[in-house]
Amino acid sequence: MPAGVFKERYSQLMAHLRYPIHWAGLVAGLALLLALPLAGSYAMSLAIDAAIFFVAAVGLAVTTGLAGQISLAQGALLGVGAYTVAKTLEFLAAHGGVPEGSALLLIPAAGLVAAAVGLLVGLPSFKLKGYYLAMASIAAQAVLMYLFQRVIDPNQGVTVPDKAMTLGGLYFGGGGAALYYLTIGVAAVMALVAANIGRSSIGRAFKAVRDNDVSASIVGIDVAKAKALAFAVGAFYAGVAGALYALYNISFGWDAFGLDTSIELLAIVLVGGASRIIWGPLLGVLLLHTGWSLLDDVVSGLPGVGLIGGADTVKYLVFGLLVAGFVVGEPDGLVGVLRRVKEYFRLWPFSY
Amino acid sequence: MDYVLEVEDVRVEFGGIVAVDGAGFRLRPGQILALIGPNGAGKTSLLNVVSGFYRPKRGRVVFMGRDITRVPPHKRAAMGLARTFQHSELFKHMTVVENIMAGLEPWRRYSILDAALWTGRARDWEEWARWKAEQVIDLLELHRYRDSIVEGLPPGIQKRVDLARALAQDPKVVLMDEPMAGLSREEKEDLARAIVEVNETQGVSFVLVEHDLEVVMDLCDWVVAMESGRVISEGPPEKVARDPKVVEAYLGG
Repeated sequence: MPAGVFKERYSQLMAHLRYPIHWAGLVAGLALLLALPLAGSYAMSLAIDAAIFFVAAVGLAVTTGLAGQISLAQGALLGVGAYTVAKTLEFLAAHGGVPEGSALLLIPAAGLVAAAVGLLVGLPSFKLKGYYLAMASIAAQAVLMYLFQRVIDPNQGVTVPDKAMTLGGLYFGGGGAALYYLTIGVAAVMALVAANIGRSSIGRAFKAVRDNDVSASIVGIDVAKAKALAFAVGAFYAGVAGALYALYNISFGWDAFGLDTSIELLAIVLVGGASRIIWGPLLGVLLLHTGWSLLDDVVSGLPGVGLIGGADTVKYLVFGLLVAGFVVGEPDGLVGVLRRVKEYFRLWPFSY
Repeated sequence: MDYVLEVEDVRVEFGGIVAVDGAGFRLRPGQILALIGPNGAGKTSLLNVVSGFYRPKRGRVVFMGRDITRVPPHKRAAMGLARTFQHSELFKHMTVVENIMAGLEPWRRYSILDAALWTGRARDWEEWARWKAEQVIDLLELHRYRDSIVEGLPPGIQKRVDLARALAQDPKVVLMDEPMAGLSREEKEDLARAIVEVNETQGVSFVLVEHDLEVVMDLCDWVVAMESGRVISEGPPEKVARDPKVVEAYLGG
């Protein structure tokens, strides 16, 4: 009887689903996601919101976790995606009308526009590293925010027309089941794509640049190109997430795309585990984003919170402490913690 | 072709300091050449010119008959010029197999869209790359360490991974900066054996910057001795070792 894992082809080693437990997990996860609308509209909106942040966080995990390029502009790139949808529709409405379902077609377009902007945001990475690059990305975030406020959306508010979100009798706006399945589907595909890039030679080039850019160039990797690509891929994800954000919120302004959103996304990636581009963001979003929004009312009701500036102050205090704690204590994030728990039980009760 | 690599009259300056002052060497196909000399002689600087980190003030580097003096470093690997480092400069959070496969990126034949959708093109190339990596894993006996993260492996193994990453690129010439530094006697023997094997079976040429004269004597067919940025002696190992100028540079310097 075989005792161990015996793969016969290299492609079997590279597969995402290598063991029976992976298949079981996939089936259980899919069943859960398909059945979630039964839990009511509140659960659905929480899930849509989480899926949108998950997509943006996966993109940031590619840029920051895989390729090591710290970016604090992901929030603004989310805005680029959202405004691409809203502004294109506004333009269409003024020039002959909005075709039915056009907002859905604009989702990939929003990704591409954001990717182009992301290339610009990533330009400083050719010269700067680490904290200096983080500072430069804050500058990019500020510039984009300025453009949103002064040029693109000076009245603080755009609306996606209902007709653009209707296709074949289904309405893909707000928190309904149609948008829920669309968002979950997009998130699943985007996660698969990120995992594919991660296991490809391009993903290895990203990691090589992260670990040691001098020797990356010596083994023949075009470091500047790899960095630019990492920024573009991350921004593409932000753009797609932004487009979904526009559909979900229907009406929105620029206040959701500020530096605080960028910081929250970076916190999600770092606390979840930057080196794992799917599981890290997933855990990070569930804990920091969804978890916190569930706690928000409780925290606001605590005595004294009003005096220090409300629940948001507490939120960023907690996020800051969590990020600092994880970076120092567990650089692999929650994924690293879970992996250690798993290792413990794999050997239990003989843990030596 | 008489020479795979010709380095002619190279001058390197840092500010006002002259690190290499008109030095050069020529490497025949299949040769193992050693660059020796006391600390500060300019050996590593010269190697950095060959691999493209430094742009020389004067002089040129000709590889396989082509002037590559101004070719950026990342393009030299794809041409068949590989390099290893004194302190292994591996990708330390990646596994051994990933490190080796990262060196195959210049030969990638699929786009990011193929990668994203994991098309047949991407899959086939990745299988080829993995097969390629396994060849050097066999050659350098790295089987046990394949899936280990590089950080934390013993120095001797890391040096072997560094060499494996270079060899997977099917290079014509491998530049090695102090390959034996910091290794135990046993590890040195292992690494020397691997170098000789690749040299004899695949005709790969080597340029070694090396302090360990025992290794130089045993391994190399040609020795270039440097001092103060200049070549003071060159020839077969026995001859250079007896050259009074070389003896003086090492003892009297």
